[in-house]
Amino acid sequence: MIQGPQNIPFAQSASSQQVPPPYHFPGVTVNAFVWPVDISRVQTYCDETFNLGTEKDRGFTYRPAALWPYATLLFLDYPIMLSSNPLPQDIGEMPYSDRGIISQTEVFIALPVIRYGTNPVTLVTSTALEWALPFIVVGNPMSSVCGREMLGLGKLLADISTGVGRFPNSFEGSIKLPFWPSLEPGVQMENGEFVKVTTNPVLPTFRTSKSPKASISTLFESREASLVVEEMASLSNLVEDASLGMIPTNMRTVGLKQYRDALDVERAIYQSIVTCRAHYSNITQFRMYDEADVKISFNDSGSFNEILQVFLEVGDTPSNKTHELQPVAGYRFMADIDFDQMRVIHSFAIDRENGLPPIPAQSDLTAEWARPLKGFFGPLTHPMRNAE
Amino acid sequence: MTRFVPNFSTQQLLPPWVSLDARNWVFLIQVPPETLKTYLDTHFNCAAPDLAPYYYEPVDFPYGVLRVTRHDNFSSSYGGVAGSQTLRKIDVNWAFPVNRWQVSPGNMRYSKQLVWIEPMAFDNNSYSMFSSREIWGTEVDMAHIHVEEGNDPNHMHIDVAAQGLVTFDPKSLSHLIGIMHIELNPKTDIDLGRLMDTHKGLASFIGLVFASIGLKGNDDGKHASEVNTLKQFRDVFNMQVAVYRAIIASRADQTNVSDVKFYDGCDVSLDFMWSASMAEALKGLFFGQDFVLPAHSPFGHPGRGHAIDRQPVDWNLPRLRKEVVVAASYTSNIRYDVTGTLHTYGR
Repeated sequence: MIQGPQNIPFAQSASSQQVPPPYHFPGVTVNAFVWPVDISRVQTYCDETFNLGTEKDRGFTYRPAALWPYATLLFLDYPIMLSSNPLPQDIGEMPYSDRGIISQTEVFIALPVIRYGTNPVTLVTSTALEWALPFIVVGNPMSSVCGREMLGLGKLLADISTGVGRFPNSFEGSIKLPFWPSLEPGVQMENGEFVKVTTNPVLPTFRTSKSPKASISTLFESREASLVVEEMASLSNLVEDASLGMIPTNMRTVGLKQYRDALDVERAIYQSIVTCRAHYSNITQFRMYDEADVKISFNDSGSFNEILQVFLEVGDTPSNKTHELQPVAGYRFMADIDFDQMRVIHSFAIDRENGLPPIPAQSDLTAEWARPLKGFFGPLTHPMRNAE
Repeated sequence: MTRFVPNFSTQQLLPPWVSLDARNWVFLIQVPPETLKTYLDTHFNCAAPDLAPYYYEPVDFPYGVLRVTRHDNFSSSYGGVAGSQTLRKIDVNWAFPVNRWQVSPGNMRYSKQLVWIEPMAFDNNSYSMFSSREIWGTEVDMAHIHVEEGNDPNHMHIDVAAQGLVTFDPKSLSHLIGIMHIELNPKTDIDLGRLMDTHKGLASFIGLVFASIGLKGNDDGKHASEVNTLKQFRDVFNMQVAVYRAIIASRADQTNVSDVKFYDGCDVSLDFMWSASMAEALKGLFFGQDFVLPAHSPFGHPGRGHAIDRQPVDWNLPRLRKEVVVAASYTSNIRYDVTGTLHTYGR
């Protein structure tokens, strides 16, 4: 386990409304849409976000998952969000898990990336499939703050709308985000529609523009597709037979957790790579949309352009038009999700001010599957139970 | 140097900030002295694990300022580019002045300086909230804030609501609940002399408040605008541990102050709405830890309307009136600068 320079206590404020993980989310409705992504853009994202410093110093390299060159847009409706921390919380008040329930909607874009170890041993033990989330928005402010300050997920706060579209059993979702229509100084921030998704009813339906049979085969008749379904949605209940019981039910997210120095904002005072586990279970009501009838429109205007450059083939300057996207698959399901096993896998070296000694880089890169072999039982071994 | 990796999700409103023609309302409130001392001891004076070479103590008069500021032209001037990322927003914060002593390795206190502490703040713009929290270290929460100032600036109405829980119970559902309601409806001409005679230390405190907004127009006034915040971030696994904790110094300088007007506190209605989410903050910052909600507290929103930003707000909560000693309103330009990191914990 990677630890900071000292055992610095966090000062819990009475006015703080943030609830730290782990979390349990029962009955989540997920709508997911998959489209091909430019691998070079994913590699650029990996290089700029995770592959910092030299390969020798950090001991790993993130690359796009070449087997699955797709991005997935997910709309998740969480009717219930619970703190699931079973441990004494010592916050001087009622434990978070007994306080109540939060509900919210979340939207993110997931890119599969693979972390490779950089020598013959770590190439085996440290190589892991993870999911980068270059774009993530939530409707609940507490969730956005927790994601940003605790988990290294760059959650923005958005107005997210989800529901039934024009036809029964269809889907319509949209995100409104603060943005600047122009990057010129003095232009006022506005709340603009960033993306809108509409579908026809789930299959089978007579409201299809192409053959629904072709749609289903798009997703299931390729090995790559089954891989992403397994990882993205952990569809163990549905496709267990098809995958011979080898379906992982975990999706490990990876993010760069970093904070700026207050005075020199180009300098990081903390920088680390954090992974977390989203464990999907009780998956039900899996339905496909005919991807030919799914319409995804991104708004390539003003400051939105910078976001789109990560995962869409847009130019370096805003086109001020909508960017229409044709997905290769769309589906929805319900699941229970547990979000836990937060772990710093690498903290980058930090130079400190005021004559303080630098904090050296640290790594804990062993892949999840290799941890038992290495004697790690880290995720469920809380320092309160097993002080190091 | 470890370079911060910028991207669209972290590039909001880098300092310094500039707000042009900001409309300000300040409400001077008397609070139990121990609330101020407790906050200072738990956030600035305690070992974490090392002690900062500073000691913070409340000033002699137990007053603080509830500030509401409507910014119609708020932007970043980072890199010398004025007007970057311009936005509108309203913020509300609770601030009180303290004496900050420097402490020598031999535990001698010297070099006293007056600085402001902001233990609670709300903002209705997420981008400035992220920047406040992640760069300045201010513990800001997102809120829906409504300021209604009609043609007559003497009459005004402020509502604040945020996501929260009415009661703590495993089945309680978080929703938008009322936080506070302020109504200013002057019926009397203010007699500042009488108020200062009635409230011990009020004259000095008003001097402190306005020393920081340029009315005095001298260097001493500028020194009074320093704000100290505790900037801290949790570890990803052990949430009781911080991976970074530091005391940040910043300043808010106000210029071009105009339309200054004082109001007698008896013409101001300030109501805090009592909920499980706000109870600890209200006790810890305004009413005292021993405060018990009176059995027959009035309920509900005393003002007009129950929605903010077209979002329904649950005002069906016990209401606690807090006496305002004196209030003021003015318009100003405000420049916010980070001046440095006073102490980084973890030797």
